[in-house]
Amino acid sequence: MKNSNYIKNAYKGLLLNFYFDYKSLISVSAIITLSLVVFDFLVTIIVLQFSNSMSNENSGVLVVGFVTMLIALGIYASLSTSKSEMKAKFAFPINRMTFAVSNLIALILGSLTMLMVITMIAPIEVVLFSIAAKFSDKLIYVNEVTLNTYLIGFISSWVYMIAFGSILHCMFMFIRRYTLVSLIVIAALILSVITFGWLGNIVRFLFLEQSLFMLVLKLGVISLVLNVLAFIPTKTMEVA
Amino acid sequence: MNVITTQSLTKKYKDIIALDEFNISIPENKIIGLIGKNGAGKTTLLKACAGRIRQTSGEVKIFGEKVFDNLDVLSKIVFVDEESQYDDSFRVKDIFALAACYYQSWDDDLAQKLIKHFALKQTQKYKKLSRGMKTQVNIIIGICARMPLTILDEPTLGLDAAVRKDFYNILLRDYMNHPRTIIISSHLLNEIEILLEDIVLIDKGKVLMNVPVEEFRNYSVALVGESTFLKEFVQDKEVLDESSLGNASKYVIKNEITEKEKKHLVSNSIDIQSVSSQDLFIYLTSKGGFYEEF
Repeated sequence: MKNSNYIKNAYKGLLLNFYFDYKSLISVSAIITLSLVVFDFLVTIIVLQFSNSMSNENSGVLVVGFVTMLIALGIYASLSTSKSEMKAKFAFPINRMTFAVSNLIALILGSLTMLMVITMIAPIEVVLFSIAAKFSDKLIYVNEVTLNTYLIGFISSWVYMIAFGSILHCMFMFIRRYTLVSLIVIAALILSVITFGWLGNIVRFLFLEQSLFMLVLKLGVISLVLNVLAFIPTKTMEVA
Repeated sequence: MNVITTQSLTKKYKDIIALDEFNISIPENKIIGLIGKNGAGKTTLLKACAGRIRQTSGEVKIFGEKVFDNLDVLSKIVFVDEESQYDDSFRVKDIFALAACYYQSWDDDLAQKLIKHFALKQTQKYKKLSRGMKTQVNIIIGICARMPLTILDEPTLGLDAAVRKDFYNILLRDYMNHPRTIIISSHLLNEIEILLEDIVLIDKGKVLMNVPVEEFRNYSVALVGESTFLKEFVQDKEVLDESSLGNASKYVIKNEITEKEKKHLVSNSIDIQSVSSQDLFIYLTSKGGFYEEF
């Protein structure tokens, strides 16, 4: 019979481990996003000196932050599956199942935290540009975000980030274990999607959806399936 | 109860056989020294016991159960690798926080004392630590985890003599208060010998010897004296090493000399000397004849 304390300790330790990983990832991404906001503000101020009028939309930081976080997540997915990272995780008493489950939990919570951080940066953009618009007649500042659009954007961004993280995690797990075969399969899949229209339609059907509920459902199932797939190379993986 | 049992354990890396039909049983609550030359299979054996690698064939059981991916067993093992094994981007305090989470018997008071003793900066990143400091972090985890099976693979790499001595004393004291099975692999047999109860000597992936340390110490004797007499005397003995200088020779033989033979040797002015464990290890694992080529 499994000792539940061992499982509890493994999850506790792994989640703390992932927290340390995501902490630095989110910090770096937040600094980049914040810098981009300030840079955008400074550019706007400078351009205002030479132009007659200018407009800015306050959804900028949300898009920039989302893209930055996606890039950071992609880099993390590639690094976290490396031999040394795996060795560092398995230096402590865990098994492959606790690793796989914790990885998914960390991805869900990490993406959520990333989006919350972007949300916290958004008011800075609003304040900066509102002040600029108040002091300059040349700048027109448009507030496009309503609570409704924000919530829809937040939830859809969250599920897209989870799906994106899951795709990369699965892909890199296979590449690390079966490098040549995986690269050939991935290249063949990409070429097929480009070449055959019906495959492109399937991808569109899976990843694009008007209804938020259906989008969450589809991307949720895709993420789960990809994480189960990623477990296949993990199951027999050596960590020496 | 045996903590480790292997049966025909074999591990191959492509065409290299690291462990070859390896059979061993290690009882609980002992400090065992795992000795062998580079490439003898020590690290492979320890990694197989720690569930890091899978055997090609055969079996390895820890506490009577298979170890690979078995959390019940893995939660009773702490494995300190000779290489740096923790996340390079983490701070020292993060690594200890993780250890406290994972190991049920983690002794935080002792860990804090050792951190202070070794003057480790907890805010420093693991990657910024020197080789010796990384080893200190590793051994603090190895000792403070207090796992029923503690595996230390070359635990003193990069440490100076004074710190190594500290480590041996701390380990021994902790073991006296909290007995458990500790396996130490090391090249420095003369240093760790005082800690050990049993010695497992391996060579080319096989067990050469698995004996109590006293038996190992008394395994051989060196006979020094007149060449012609000694050559005749050792004819029916197992000679482990021989060297000569002028008319004098030194033979290291398996210690099977009777009292009568001893008297005979002494009466012929043959000096009977003990052989250090480190030298015996070299004699048992070296092919010999290398120096004669030069």
